[in-house]
Amino acid sequence: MSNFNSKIKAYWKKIHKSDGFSALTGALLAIAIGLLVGMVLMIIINPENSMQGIGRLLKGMFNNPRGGWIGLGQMLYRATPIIFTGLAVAFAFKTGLFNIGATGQYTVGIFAALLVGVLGDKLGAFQWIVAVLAGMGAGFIWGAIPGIFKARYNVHEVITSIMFNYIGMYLVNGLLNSNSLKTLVVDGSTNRTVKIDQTARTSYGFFNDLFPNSGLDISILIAIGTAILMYFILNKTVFGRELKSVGLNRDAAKYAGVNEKRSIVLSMAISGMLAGLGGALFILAPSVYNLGTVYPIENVLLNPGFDGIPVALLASSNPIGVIFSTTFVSYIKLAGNSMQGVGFVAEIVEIIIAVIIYFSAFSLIMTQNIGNIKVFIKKFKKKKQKEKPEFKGIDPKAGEK
Amino acid sequence: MAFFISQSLYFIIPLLIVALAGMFSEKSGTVNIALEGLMVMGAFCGTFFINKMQAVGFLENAPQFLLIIALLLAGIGGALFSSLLGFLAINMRANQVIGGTAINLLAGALAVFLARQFQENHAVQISYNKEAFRFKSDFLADVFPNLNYIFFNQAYLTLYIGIIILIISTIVIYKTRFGSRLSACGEHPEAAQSVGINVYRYRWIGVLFSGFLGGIGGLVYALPISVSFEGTVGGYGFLALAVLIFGQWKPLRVFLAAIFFGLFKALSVTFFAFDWINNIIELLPNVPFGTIFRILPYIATMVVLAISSKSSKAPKASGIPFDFKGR
Repeated sequence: MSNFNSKIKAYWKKIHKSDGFSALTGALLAIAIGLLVGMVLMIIINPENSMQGIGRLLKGMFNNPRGGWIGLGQMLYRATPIIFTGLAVAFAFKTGLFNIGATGQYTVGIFAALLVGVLGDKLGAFQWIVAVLAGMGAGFIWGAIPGIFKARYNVHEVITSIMFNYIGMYLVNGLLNSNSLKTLVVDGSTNRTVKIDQTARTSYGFFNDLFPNSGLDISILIAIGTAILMYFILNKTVFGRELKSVGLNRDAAKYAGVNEKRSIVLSMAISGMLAGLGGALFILAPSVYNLGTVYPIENVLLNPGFDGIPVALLASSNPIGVIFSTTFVSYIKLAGNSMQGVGFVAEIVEIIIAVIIYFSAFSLIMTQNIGNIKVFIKKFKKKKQKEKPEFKGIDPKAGEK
Repeated sequence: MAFFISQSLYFIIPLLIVALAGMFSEKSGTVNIALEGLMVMGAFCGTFFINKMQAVGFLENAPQFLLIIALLLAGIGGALFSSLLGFLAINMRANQVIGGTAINLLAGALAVFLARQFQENHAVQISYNKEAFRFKSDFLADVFPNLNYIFFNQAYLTLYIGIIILIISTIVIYKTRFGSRLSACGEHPEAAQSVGINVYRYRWIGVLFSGFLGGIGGLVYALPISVSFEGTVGGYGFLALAVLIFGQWKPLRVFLAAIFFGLFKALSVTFFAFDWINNIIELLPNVPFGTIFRILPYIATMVVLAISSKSSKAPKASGIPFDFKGR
């Protein structure tokens, strides 16, 4: 029995000391503080309705008038593209790169998948998979460019990604408005793209029976599978370890025989590919009531690309963690709309998310230092014991009171 | 041509101010991803103040004075906001990218939230009358009509404030003891500490100064290009970050980088004003010139960077938290 206990203790110690554990507790602490700040803010600005508002904030997906179950489907549907951009940012972070260009890679992914999805009628049953691959390929190329600029010309990836966000957006909009494509893929009256062919849309799978008319399709399964795959690649393969080693110390990795330039380009390209896949699956989604998804031709960078950054940070760039952080962010974003019904501006939710990210930077440090504090206390106790040997026999735990 | 230069100044001056804002922070050793958020906060404070004051007719006869007060408020708003980054990056030694991202998110959300909370009909737009601030002076109009158009007729006070900020920044960085110490904290904080410089204090000053200039830059950007502020500065904070890297963290090179980018950017909105470009467009009806001119500023910047950026001059300790162990 005591053997069993000690095994549990050893296991607990292992979990407790791991980086993942401190990242998780840190994130949970940050979420608690963020929600608290939001509630205080709500009580200050509108004390009469504050209880109702807070209730709606915490209810999240359960605010859905068709019930929490449909709300869950809707939440996962909205989370899917952001899981991909979050994975893109997280993958780059893990390899020491800051991919702020997910929005550009997402946009070119949408464009490539859209072209195949609208014009590739002859592909028949392969239309969907070709569209997805086209989106991934476009994202791969768009992500590789900042990598090439960094590896070859020593230009910081942040500046290249920012520049190629705009280049991607203007290029896609320009191509869609060009003479050869405009009549085929753009709906002139709404200035949006036309809908994807029915044959090229993502399958609902069993989700339409499970969550009727919530919009959820099998993309969410692809997202979860991709996250697990990325976790596996980063932690269990030589290739992933090499990419990470370049991020930790470029010179050391080079010395150890890693082709560091190739690794930088590949890291960015894979990151871009993930964002492009997100874009492709977004535009190919059959959407709520099978209406299809469209891309509005406006000269504005798309938000999902930027939403990937906070979710990756909240998850400490852990690919599996990105699934949960994105789900959480979608949960409280769903609350924003229904909070307006009781007199609260929906942006409160955005403020809460920002506060959570801010404190996640703190709490990571706090939880990492808990161990140090314990060591310090132990040292302090030992000193006391040395000074007063007569207390040696007493249980040291008594001192904790 | 005068119209083109006048337009390009509306892009160049805010880019210059905000890139210099980033320079002060990075020179002292704190990476400032939060420039976008600081701009939003500054633009919010400034436009909200102008909106309210123009409504009650405060300083109606002295619009330039009103603008100066608004710019100061924008700067103070930005500085207060940047203290969030300073506390996180300097005192808590936390990840500066996370802090900067959080501040960008917070600024965007807060600006829209406050605007909707404190305006009638929960409107997001904060409108203002920018024409009141235009100089519309006839100075030199007879002799040099173009110069008059660019610098005295269509210009705002912000043009001159931008140039003053550039001159002061250059002097501060290169000619003062404060500037050398600030750079030392970003290059080698341990060495700076060893000769008795308080690294924490200099980094705090760098971040607060960055917030002040970033806030001013936000209002300078928002004022001439629109008639209302809607809680976003359209990615200009990130572009300024790019200009800062392009300018290799040196004030005068940052100015040149801002001019380079601003001229191309202005060309993308005013190319139709040039006769010779119109002639080319008529000759080649199938070439999508609109798209080409829109992409040109970004492509041109990348080409110049690829040629010039083999050796980066980034402050060496920028982004690395400083831990004073009292040795």
